[in-house]
Amino acid sequence: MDLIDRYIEEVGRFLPRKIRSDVQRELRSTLEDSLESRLANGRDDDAETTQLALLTELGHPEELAASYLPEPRYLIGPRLYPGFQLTMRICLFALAVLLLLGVVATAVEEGGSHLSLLAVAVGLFDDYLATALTILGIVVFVFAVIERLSRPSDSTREWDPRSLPEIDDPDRVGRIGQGVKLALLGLALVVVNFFPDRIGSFVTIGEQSGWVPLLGPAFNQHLWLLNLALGLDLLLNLVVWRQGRWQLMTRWLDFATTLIWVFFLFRLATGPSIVEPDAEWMIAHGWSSEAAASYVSLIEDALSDLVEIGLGLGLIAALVGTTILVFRLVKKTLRQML
Amino acid sequence: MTPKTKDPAENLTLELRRGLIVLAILARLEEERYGYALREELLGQGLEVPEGTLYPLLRRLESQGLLESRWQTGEGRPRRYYRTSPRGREALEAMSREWRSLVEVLERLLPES
Repeated sequence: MDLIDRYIEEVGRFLPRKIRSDVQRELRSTLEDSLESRLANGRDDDAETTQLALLTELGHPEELAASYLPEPRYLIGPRLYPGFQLTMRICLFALAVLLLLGVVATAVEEGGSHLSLLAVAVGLFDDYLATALTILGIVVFVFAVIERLSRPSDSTREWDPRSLPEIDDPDRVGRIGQGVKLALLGLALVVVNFFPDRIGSFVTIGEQSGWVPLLGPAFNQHLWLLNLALGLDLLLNLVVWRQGRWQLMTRWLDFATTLIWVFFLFRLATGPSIVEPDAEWMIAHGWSSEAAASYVSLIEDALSDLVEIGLGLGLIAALVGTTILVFRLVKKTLRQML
Repeated sequence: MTPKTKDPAENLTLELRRGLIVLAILARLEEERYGYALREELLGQGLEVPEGTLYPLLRRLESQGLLESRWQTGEGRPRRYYRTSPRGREALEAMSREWRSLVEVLERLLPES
């Protein structure tokens, strides 16, 4: 019985606790029946050969255990997988660009040899890998949540062929694109709330290089508004994703969300700078005090101005875009009402 | 379970059998049986169902409400007995009707061997 005992024990290891002992008990009972019958019929030479044949036919314990579990058993299903792949590609590409910029900035600043540049690149790669793994974890989490929130309804549901979208329907939502948008919004929500120190840049000063967070305490003043905008955007896009197309109501809600974004940009542009690297943090993380002071002054002199200009331009662009959007929406609403 | 073979004909035959096994189980379990006895019964009628397929399938049909089960722990080996539930009988009737109609149609469609 030794092999049978070991087999049953091994199957149990792959089963959830809730059904484990019951399945194991039944499996033992049926295996004993089967074994007894085979031995009585003399189908195999001896008890051990019979056990071996029986267990080989049953298959690997993990496979047998898997067939007891209900479907589906995946975090991200085939419907969302292309979106997941695309999101990861976008994130990893953006991260790779940051890494490359770090190396290029070093090359320009230091004019170092190929070998020292290689050393910098290898050093930065460590940070890249850690950040990439964090992003992978968050993106998988976000997609797993979307997967569970958006299980397709019964495929035999009634539908009207007249509801099929026009071929050139501007309101139609691309499932993959919308999935990516949802994931990026979810990723942003998780990052700004749980990993704000991951918003920063790869920095190389002299021999030292590494990741330095960019956000200062002023960022926390805007966090509630950012959460509101991201949260509403996420909910709205989830609804649109489920409906499959933009409708007049969701377009108006999108407009309202855009207004919150504009207000957010306005507060960023007119309030104290959110870009404020912390020299003390850098020193605590192994940077020399000279390197920390030089980086902080570099950011304060150059980047803060750039960010403010960028915010100002972004605000103007958002206002123009919003004005065009509101005209189109009013036109569309009036056309539907008349 | 994903078939391991890459031969399309073999895969398709397995797919075809899979649905029919459910029909056979529901029909045979109108009379209460335990797993091994059911397997022997089906085998006796010419339908061989691998044990690794049959026992998990009985559980899944039970979780779908098509079968009912109980443990019998009197004298001898404790055994789990299954029987077709009222919902299972409805499914059996619908599947049987479909099967008979399909056989009739396919008899006309298939080339004579």
